[in-house]
Amino acid sequence: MLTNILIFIAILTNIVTLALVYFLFKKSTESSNTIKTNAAFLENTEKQIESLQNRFKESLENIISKDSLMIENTSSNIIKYYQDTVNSLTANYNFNSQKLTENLNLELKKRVDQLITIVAEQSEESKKVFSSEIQKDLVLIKKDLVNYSQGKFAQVDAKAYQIISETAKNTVGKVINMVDHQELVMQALDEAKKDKFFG
Amino acid sequence: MKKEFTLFTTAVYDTKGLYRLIDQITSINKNLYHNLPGTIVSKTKGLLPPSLETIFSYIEDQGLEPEGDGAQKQFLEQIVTELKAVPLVKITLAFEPDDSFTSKLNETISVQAEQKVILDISVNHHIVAGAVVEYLGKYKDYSLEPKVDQYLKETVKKEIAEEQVKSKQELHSYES
Repeated sequence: MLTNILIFIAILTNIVTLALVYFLFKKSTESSNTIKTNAAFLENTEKQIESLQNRFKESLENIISKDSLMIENTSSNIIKYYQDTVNSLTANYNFNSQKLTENLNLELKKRVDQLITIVAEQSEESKKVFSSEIQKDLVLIKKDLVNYSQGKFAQVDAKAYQIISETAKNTVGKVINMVDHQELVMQALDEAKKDKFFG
Repeated sequence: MKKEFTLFTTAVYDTKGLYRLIDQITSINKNLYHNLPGTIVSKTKGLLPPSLETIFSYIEDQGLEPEGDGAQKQFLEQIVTELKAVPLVKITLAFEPDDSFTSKLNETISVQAEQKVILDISVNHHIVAGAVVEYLGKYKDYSLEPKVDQYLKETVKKEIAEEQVKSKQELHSYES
């Protein structure tokens, strides 16, 4: 019994498998037809695309040419406008600069004249002050000079006196003879006696 | 002062003589270590100068000299002590005095001082003449130097001032 069941199951399984295979085979033949259809469609599409591209290209070139003319015109106009503007600005600038320079020169001249006058006045004033200061300094310097020369004279006098004094003493001492020297010493001792120097 | 010491101090007038005498007595002292009998003169025969020999002989004759080395040494030391104790008078002269004038000076001053003095003599030509004396802390100038200075101040400075005025006048006249 069991063997029969098993055989029955096996046969059933085979049948199912065959059915499946047949089903799949059917399917595949359908897809290959689809593929062929699609390929033809694709080819057609490509041609259309190419045609579209060409047309687009033509339009674009057309547009570009028109645009380039327009751009050229516009650029020329812009350049011309720019040049005119620059020329006008330059002319204005030059004119204004000249005007400004003239005004500045006038103003400068006026100020310089004023400055000259002020400087002249102040230098006169300074001259007066300076002269009086110099006078004062001169007086002081003269005084210092007099004091200095007096001081120097005094020094010279002292030195001269010292030299003369030493020379005189040396000379007078040598001129006195021994006897007179001894006599003068005894006279000195007599004076000391009167003064009670030793007693 | 005892008589025997006075004999020695009397023989000296100035510091030169004093130091010479002290040297001589000190050298005699060195010869009294031999413990020999006799007087100082006999022990130091030939070593004493004549002036000292005379003095020592006189002292011996008067019996004033002690006997024995020890006592004699002490005696000599006492003489030196007495000599150093004599007061000094510093005197400055304008010339170098000879011995006779030195002794005359000493006598004169010793009489005035009423005691024996010894002169410490120095020479300075700047004092011109006379003497400058110093005694027991006192000092006095009895030389001609102050008088010469006075004369020079009055006369020479006046002449220098006149010269100055003259030279200034010359300078002014030159500047003008």
